[in-house]
Amino acid sequence: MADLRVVVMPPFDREFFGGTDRFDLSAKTLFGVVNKLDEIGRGFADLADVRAAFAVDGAVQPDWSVPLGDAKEVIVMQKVAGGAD
Amino acid sequence: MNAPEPKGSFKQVGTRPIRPDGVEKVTGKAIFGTDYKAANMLHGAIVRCPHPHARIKSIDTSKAEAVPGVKAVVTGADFPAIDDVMVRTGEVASSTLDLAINIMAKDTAYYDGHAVAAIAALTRQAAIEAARLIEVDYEVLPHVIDINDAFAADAPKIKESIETAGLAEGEEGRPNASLKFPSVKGDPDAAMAGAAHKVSGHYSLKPVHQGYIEPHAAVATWKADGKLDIWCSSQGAFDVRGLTAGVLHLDIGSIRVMPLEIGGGFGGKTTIYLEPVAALLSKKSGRPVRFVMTREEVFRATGPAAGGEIDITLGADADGNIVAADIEFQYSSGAFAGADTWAGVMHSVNHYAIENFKVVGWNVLCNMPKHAAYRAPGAPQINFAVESAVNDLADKMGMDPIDLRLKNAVKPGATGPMGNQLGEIGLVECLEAAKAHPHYSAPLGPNQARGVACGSWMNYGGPSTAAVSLADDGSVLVTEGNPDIGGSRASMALMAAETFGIPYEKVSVTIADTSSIGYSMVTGGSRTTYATGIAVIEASKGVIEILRDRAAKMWECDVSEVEWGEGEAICTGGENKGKTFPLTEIAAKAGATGGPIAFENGVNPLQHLPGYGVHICDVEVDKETGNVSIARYTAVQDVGKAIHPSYVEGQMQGGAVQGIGWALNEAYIYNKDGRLDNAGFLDYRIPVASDMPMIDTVMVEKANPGHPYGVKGVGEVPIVPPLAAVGTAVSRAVGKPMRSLPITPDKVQASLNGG
Repeated sequence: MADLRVVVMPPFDREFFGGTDRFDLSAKTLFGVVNKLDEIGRGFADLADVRAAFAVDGAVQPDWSVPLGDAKEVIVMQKVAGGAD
Repeated sequence: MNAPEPKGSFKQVGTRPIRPDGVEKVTGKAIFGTDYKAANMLHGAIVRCPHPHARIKSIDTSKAEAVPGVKAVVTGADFPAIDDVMVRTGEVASSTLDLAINIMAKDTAYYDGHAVAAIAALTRQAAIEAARLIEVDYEVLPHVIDINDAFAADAPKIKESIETAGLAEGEEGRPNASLKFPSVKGDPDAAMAGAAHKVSGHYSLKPVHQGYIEPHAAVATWKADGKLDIWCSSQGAFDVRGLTAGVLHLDIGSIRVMPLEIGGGFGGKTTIYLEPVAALLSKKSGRPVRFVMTREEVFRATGPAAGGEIDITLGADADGNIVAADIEFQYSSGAFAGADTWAGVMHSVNHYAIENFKVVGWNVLCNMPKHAAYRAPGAPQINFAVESAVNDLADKMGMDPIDLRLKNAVKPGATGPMGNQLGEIGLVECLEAAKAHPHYSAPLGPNQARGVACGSWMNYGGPSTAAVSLADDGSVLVTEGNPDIGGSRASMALMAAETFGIPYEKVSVTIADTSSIGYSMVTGGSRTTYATGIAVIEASKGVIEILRDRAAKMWECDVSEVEWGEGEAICTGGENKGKTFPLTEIAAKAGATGGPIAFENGVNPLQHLPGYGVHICDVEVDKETGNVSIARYTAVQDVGKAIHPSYVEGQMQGGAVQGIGWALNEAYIYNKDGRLDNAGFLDYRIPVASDMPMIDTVMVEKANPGHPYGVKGVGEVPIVPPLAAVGTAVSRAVGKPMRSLPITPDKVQASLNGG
């Protein structure tokens, strides 16, 4: 179980968490992070998969099941659209 | 100036073979979206609202239904009621309700060209004639087109449901603002107050269209078993499937989408317009239904890129270190909420190491078509303001503009604006290559001036699936799920050939339908060569593992004693040590060693890296007519490893030309009644070949360690810098700042004449 500082970037901070953008919580995986964030801001989990990206200690982690181990920080950020070609 | 070929230790990667689909396309035999015909099909036509904002009081289809040959009519009432759920559209989420209403208005039409009814008939002409007979009773409502009008505090609200997300507690939104997105780092106010040099400006851009040559087209057939088949060109057949399922309330598994060749998309074909309409008409008529948009329909009803209004102030210390940025902007997203505002904030100052910034983006709705992604969506607009201001700062300080950028550029290991690590990025190398390029120091002719700008795009990875199988003669068959828009068949074949150690010509690539391969996200976001490339490489490696196992069986040794070399298995132990089995021989004996050889692999890589570009533009201004021509243009870009350099250069050139068009030519022109006045290529002028000089390209190949062959995305970066490079060059040529795009001859004339 990693003790994490979770940083929630706009627009999620105001949309789900009343403007609070930092949380201290413990989780084994990103699934746990999402579930705990959903307890604070109801509805976040429903949209996280399609709207949010997660960086664990600075590196984007697409697999939510990877153990967080001794990770220190998770950043929740907006996915960015693309349109080339 | 181009990269040498081939370089490094690669044998296939980095070479420039002819693309597998090239002959079919240049001889006109390839089947694009507009070419496909189904047996017994009907032809569709859409009735579009002539008002920018109107309540639909009633629709009378009786006269149309009486026209000989008409087989079915649908309106918004035929679409299922759906919940407003979020679904994936490309890399981001979209509201199914917004999608459905954009495809067919229900009680209100939100822009000139909004679909209100559709007809299927035996002939296209019958469908068009019947469409004219559909009587729609409208109550015309107040409209707003211009973003400044739409953002005003007293603007008429175009939808009652609009609420401004992202506001601080107690903060008031705007009537048509769907989002406020602030991003703050450090103490920008204090840093700005202490800055030795400041520059400020207001910048304006109009919405522009992606300008793909192939119009939207689709054929749908609702089969007797209740399942739906769709043939269309798009940037992602899987997303066409998912979005259509969402809009029509169908199981995803009941829809099969067959991807056809695509004649350009640039982001605009990552969503749907026609497919559900054709499907419902097919359900009603019992026959396949085909739609092909006219060019006018493409302009009136499909997505433009956002226009923008941007205020910016930059502050630097006496040495040229940018110490603060204060930016506030509004992007228009048409009549529905959009996503580009987030990207605008993220790409505003992410190419500079600035410790203090405040960037606030607003998303504003107006009575225009629903915006769609366009090459680096959201980045070119904000970059126009930022890079123009950086050039102003260089002028004010008497610094070389590239030196100023080198002083402030982000470097490997830096942290991005969202806290993510940027990794092995190559902006500094690009700036150094641009400064060393002969273009940068070349003398200018009369009435000529030069501008330079740099920019970035975060790029993307995401889910892709690929399958690799072997034929009995050793042919390698790659199957993928991403439409080939910019030459990806060739890139996938090169990566597979490199992995196997075989010639490029031995690999064939097929783009599969949605029931024949696993999910692959859209071809977009500069993700395909990176992410689908990894899927192809991993699937190839899976086949190689099978080949090693089969060779071990034939040598009667343990698989650990078999290695894979250049297109062959090599025995490294036992009595057969040193012997080899070519891939062709193992494939020929597949039946005797365990059966067909194939491997399918799904991946979701996100070790992509941002790309950076630096552009140099020389313009020549005709002081009599105000016309601006591009005299010389050079694009430098950090491309990672170029798998097929010709197609990388093509992306760089194409993106540059589209950016030049945005800067000089392109804009939607609405009249006072809110109707689009230039819905065609005669009046909406995209650059053509005769407008352009040769766009010189310099590929800076700084490999991405997160890809087996070093790939970074390349398709989006090149549209980011041109707006400021062109704008700065014209500003210098006329001696006054030109901060409103497009810089048309009348604006140049007015500036030259003291306006």
